[in-house]
Amino acid sequence: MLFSSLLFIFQFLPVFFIIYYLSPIRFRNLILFLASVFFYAWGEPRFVILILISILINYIAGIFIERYDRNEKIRVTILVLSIIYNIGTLMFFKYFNFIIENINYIFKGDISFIDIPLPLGISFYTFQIMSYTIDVYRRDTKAERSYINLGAYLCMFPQLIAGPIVVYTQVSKELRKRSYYLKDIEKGLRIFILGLGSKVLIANNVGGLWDDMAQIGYANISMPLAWLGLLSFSLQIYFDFNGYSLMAIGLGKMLGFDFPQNFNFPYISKSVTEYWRRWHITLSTWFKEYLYIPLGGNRKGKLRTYINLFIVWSVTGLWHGASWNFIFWGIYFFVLLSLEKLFLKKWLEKNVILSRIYTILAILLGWMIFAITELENIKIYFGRLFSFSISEDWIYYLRNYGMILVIGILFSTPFLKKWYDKQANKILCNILLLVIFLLSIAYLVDAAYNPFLYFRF
Amino acid sequence: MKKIRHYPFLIVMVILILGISFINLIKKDTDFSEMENRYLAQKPELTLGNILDSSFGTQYETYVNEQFIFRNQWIGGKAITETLLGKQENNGVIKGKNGYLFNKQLNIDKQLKKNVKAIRDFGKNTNTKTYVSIVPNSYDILKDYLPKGTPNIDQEALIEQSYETLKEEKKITNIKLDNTLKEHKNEYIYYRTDHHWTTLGAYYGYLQFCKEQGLTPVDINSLTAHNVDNFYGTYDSKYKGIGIKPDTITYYQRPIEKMVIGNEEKSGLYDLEKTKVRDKYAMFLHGNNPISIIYSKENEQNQGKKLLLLKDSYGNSMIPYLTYNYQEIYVVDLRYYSDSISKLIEDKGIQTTFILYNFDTMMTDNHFYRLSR
Repeated sequence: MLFSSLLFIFQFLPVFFIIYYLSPIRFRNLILFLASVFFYAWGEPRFVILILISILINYIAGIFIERYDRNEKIRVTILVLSIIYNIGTLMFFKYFNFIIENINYIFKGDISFIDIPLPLGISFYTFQIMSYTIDVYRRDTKAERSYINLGAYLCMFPQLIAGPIVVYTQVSKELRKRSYYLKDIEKGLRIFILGLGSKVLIANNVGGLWDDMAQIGYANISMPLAWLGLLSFSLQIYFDFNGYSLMAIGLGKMLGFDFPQNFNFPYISKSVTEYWRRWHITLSTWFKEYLYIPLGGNRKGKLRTYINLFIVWSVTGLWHGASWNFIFWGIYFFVLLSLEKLFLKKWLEKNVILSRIYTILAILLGWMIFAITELENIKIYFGRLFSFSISEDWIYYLRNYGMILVIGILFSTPFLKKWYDKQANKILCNILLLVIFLLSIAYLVDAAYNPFLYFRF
Repeated sequence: MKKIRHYPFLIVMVILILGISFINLIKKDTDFSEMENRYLAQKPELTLGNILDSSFGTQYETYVNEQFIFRNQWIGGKAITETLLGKQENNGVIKGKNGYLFNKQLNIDKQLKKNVKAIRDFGKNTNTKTYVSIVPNSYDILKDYLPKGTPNIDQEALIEQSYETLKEEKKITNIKLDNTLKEHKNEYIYYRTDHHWTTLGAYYGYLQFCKEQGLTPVDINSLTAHNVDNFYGTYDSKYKGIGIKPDTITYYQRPIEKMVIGNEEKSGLYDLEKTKVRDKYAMFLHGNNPISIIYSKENEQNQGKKLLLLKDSYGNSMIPYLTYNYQEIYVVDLRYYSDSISKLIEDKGIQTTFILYNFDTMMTDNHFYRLSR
């Protein structure tokens, strides 16, 4: 079930919230847990068992790590076993076929693929549950004694499928006791609607332009259109992802949870280093906390720092998908970040305008590597960006998508948020949000509109 | 609870969402959507099987989406919003000049080459004379009406390539329509709101067909014309924007002996009941059927002549003219006809085959393999 669906908004949400708020506070975690399992099972009934086992194993691991507090060997063994399980399942479900593909390629082998779909949200929940066990091991938090609480934490439907990656320590207090204010519920609802609009009205809309690029064929597009295409994909992925995060944060607020911010206007950054502090913040934080620092971070000399960065960014790339272009995408950012660390950053700080242009270009080209899976096609697309072929196709797309691109760019900057925060009387904001909500519904209904042309006669 | 009035936005939203949910719950489901010309999804039955293979979830979601209250109004609202955003397209239909709607067609389907080869092979193996015509769609002929830079594929070139392939077989005669239709592009040869050509467009196609064969065509002015107004076609169903003017269907009465569709016998070529519904084009030839046989009244022209017409719905508006030149027309729609074509030709003693498709069907339909049966 997607948040941006009529089923979720008009059936799941009302029923869930009525039950949630009518029941006594001590049952609410259980209700949240059960509702989340239902939410998950709706699209993926087979893999519910996988997530429940994952909770169970880490639940037991947490308790045992705490019980053998004095015996480092046992503690480490349990931690390592839990990590092997967590990473192992992720590897199996997400990367098995990718590994086989590469083995086959290198050794000219013919090992057959397995036919297994990717369990929904596995990349997200695996990282979340690992953070829990590692934190218990580090004694940053107490082990959770209640399977239901741990289950409610991991399965919590707002963030189950697409983040933000909430680590256990961020919500452990709220899992035990949280306060409910109408103010928060209203605020949560506002954030949810903003997220819904981001996804349905902007991301899906500009996404249409990007989809057309592939339809026309990358080799056939003009140079201006190639840049328009990259711009539209950049906006699409930002509003899609940020939209989901906002919806999750909003729903969390309505449930009494405070989820961490995931995006902070990344496209206004003045360097790639800054960009990665503003883009998908919870993921970068996770990799910093649970990979970069354990590897030694920057405390083991310059060379080791760069090796560590290389590892972190390759894995970050790989996390986004089982394909080489994602790994290259990660390494691409490793190179840029390293250059900035070495000398570029000092130079950029002196140059306000050039630094923005550089950053935007770096991000756009990064998205090209991200969006196009086949290396051959990346080469073709890159060629079109500097082909100096100027046919008329871009006129059509500028006319059709110009307005929505401008709206997208405007919402990528903090101007509107500043305006919004300044409004003491929120009537105008409320009307605006209501319109966004109604338009989102119209677009969602239209998505299911499918005139049957009988067919094409 | 007194505090709740301090949160007017929350109140409005809760009432709105609960209200819509409630109405959706109690309202009666719609069976058929005339706008979309199809049956809407109904509530799926819950079984253990469809839960486990997760098909229940998908079916139920489709049901919720398609039965949503005020469906047509939401869809209209979206279309208007798109226009306000400066869009010239909606749901894959482009709005051009003079109220014309066009298909958005960005990529070349690989099926085209397969289909053309299947026709070439058919021409080689059959004993009839074979005529082939690929009718360009409106955006190819009415290029001047398209918005600047419309990224549609080059239909003209693709049709030309297809004819080149067909020419490899000497027994096939191509009936090229591009030039004829272009000469008449300022006339009403395509519907503005529908993907078909008009009966006038079909007439120019018919003239070309007669010319290639050396037949005497029927004079359109000698026929009695009837008009059906207020026709909103399939492009309009998709586009749904404002400011679209309806089309007029003109049809010509051609008295025939009889028309046989399956076991049914019809006395005329048109189903006039269909002029009252939205899908008015279905009036021609009583819609698309696997095989219909038309027995014309005998005249000097058509005496004893038999034609096999393999066609899509573009053919439906040309057939009335063809009855003037053929006494028996076997109209076959390969999408629904699965019996052997060669046997049909043999059994009925057919001398001529005419394959008439619009480019869109020619490129995308995957039933041409049935030609070899």
